[in-house]
Amino acid sequence: MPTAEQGVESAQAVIEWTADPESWMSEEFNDTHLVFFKPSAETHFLNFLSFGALELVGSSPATNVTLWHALLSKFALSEQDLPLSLVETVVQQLDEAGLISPVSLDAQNS
Amino acid sequence: MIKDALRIIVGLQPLPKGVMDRIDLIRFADANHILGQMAFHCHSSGSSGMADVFSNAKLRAAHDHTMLTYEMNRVERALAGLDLPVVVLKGGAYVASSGRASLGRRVSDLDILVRPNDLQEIEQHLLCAGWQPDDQTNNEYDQQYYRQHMHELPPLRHKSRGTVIDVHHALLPITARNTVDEAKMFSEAHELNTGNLKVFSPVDQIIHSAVHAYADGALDTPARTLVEQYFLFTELTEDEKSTLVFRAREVGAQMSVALGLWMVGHVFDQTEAKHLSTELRASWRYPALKFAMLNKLRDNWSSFIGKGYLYIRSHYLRMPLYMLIPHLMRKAIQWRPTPKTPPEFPFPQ
Amino acid sequence: MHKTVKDLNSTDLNRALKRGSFTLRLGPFSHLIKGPARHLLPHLIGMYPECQASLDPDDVTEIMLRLKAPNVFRRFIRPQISPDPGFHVPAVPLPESMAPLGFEMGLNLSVALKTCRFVTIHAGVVAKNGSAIMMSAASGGGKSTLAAALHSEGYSLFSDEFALLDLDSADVRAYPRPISLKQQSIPIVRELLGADRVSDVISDTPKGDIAYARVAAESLAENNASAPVKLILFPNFQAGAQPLARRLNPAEAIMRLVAASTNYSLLGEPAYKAIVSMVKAAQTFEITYGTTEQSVQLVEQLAGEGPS
Repeated sequence: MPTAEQGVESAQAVIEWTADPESWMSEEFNDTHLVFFKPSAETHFLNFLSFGALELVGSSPATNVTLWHALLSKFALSEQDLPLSLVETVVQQLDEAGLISPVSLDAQNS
Repeated sequence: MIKDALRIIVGLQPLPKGVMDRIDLIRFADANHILGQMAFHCHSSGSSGMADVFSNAKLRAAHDHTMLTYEMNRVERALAGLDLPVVVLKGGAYVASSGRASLGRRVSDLDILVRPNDLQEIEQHLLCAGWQPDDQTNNEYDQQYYRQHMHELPPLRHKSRGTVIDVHHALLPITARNTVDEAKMFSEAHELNTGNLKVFSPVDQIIHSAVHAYADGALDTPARTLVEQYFLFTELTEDEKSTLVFRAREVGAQMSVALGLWMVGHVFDQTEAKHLSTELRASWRYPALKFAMLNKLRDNWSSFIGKGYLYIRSHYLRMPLYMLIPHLMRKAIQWRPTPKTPPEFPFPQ
Repeated sequence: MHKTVKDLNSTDLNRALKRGSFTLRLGPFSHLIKGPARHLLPHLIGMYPECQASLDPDDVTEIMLRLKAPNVFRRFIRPQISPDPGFHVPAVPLPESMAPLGFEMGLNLSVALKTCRFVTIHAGVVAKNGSAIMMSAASGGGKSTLAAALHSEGYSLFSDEFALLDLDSADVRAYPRPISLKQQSIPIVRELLGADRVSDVISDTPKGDIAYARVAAESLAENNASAPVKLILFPNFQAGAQPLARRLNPAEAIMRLVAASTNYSLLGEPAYKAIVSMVKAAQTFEITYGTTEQSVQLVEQLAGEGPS
């Protein structure tokens, strides 16, 4: 796992993400996932990739890179099919929706 | 009548027997934005209609609280890593500290207070996280006006959630005649157990409530203010009550706090509040203000004298006359008539 | 036993409306009404004759509507009214003669924004043999005409405006207010339900010409009816179009119903659960049609096939 000692990486890259699986309810309909997020009371419409990312982050904290590797193996995709940049976009969207948050913030909250 | 209504709402008196009286009371509470508080605090009547009305009101407040708590979470996220202190004010503070004043309290916007030196950095971070100047105030005049004369940034609205945050760097406008020492209050704010946002101490919360109501605005929501201050006051410990007078003087809020306590004492028969108010009072304007407040509370239509006095007073308190008149002129010019086209039935986006 | 509107003496009704103590019971709601009796009374007698009513409320209620002059002058000079459901609404004042419109709009606002006991969804609902069909469309999408057409074919009308979705059972509740008709739909519905069921036209309102159609007495009599939803339709009227039904991904149907709900975000989790469980037990279609007959045929066809 990348840590601060690896230094050269940007601050963004080393953020570890976490999510609370208790905070949402979901239903699957033909590869799309309806997610009701309790803290914001908002309903989201996620594709398999975003939902997969959410579930993975919910089961154990991950950085963008570790999440990327986990998604590659979960869906048996190649790096060409699923570039890191796409995972970064997904993570950013999940973060904006409040579904995932940096571990540091979560530590303050608990 | 008004005193009775407020006492019933906070649970000091039983509900009236007659259905039409109850209906009037519900209307009064709803129009004054305290139906939620009434739903939690007043004596139950056992009628199923009342239960429907109250459960609607409780749900509305619960929704507000969810939104507010989430907004606080978003603010923390936006400011993550900055390590600058932020105090949540007013309704947000009551909800976050979950005291009696929070039960059923409606909240729409989040108000926060930051240290003046941190203002720019915090504003930048909020802008990066998707808050943007609200359309209504996003013109050069308003932006300049807020920044030069006010105690807060122009309201920021979040681009996707539509929620509004008011970022204050002082509790009263820069141009205000009264000042209050928010730095002293800031230093005694304590952290919430849910994160790194802070709230004022219980004593400072009631002081700020009084300052906001009596030294800042025109007391827009008099019934709600009174109910709120009643809950805040009665929830103070004996120790806290004994420091209230000293603290109000220390931060320069004796006038507002005296008035607030007198009103709480008068309306809810709180001898202790009246007592403390007497200890604090010291101004020639005090009796006139009491008169105006009572009028304002009594009726929004029939008391032109009281209203007029409060209106002038609130602007007088905010800024010197040479600035006030151009400001009012400017506001008059910017005023636009309401659109003639009928609103469609509310169909949510 | 409660009296109905037609049982009450009009002098008493007049007085109760002026005093603001008139109570109308329909579906799951008691409505407390105050308004200009001269224009409101004919509407109540014409459109709500079988509806339970009383001159004085026996309990407080969540739906309280006042139709009142926007200012003191408008009480006397070219009298105007605006609906006041007890919270601020940006309603345009109407001439007093349009009181029925103000009344119906005001009640819609009250139900949409006041009640938290149901998920309120902007949709027409009809029912037959114990199961309901929901039709969700924006204003002007033809859902009132479709609901009226199905009603004329023997479906009982639950509502042409609101689906009231019970939070626990996810069933819809009947709330059979008169069907509100605009412009071209007025002659169509006169044809369908008979001219005696349709009110006089109110011309030149902010919404154009409008009229109301009375719901059949049987629908009103089943005051507390409720039913599970078996078909959820998103109707789409296009002049000259061939009838077409397209099955909709339930997730998309849910997102559309969420957008059509006036209190979904207010209710949060229980509303999510109720909508999901309703949609999971129903079939969801988007339908396109060019005539009213086509729409009825299409709906009957969809209602007939598939598991309920």
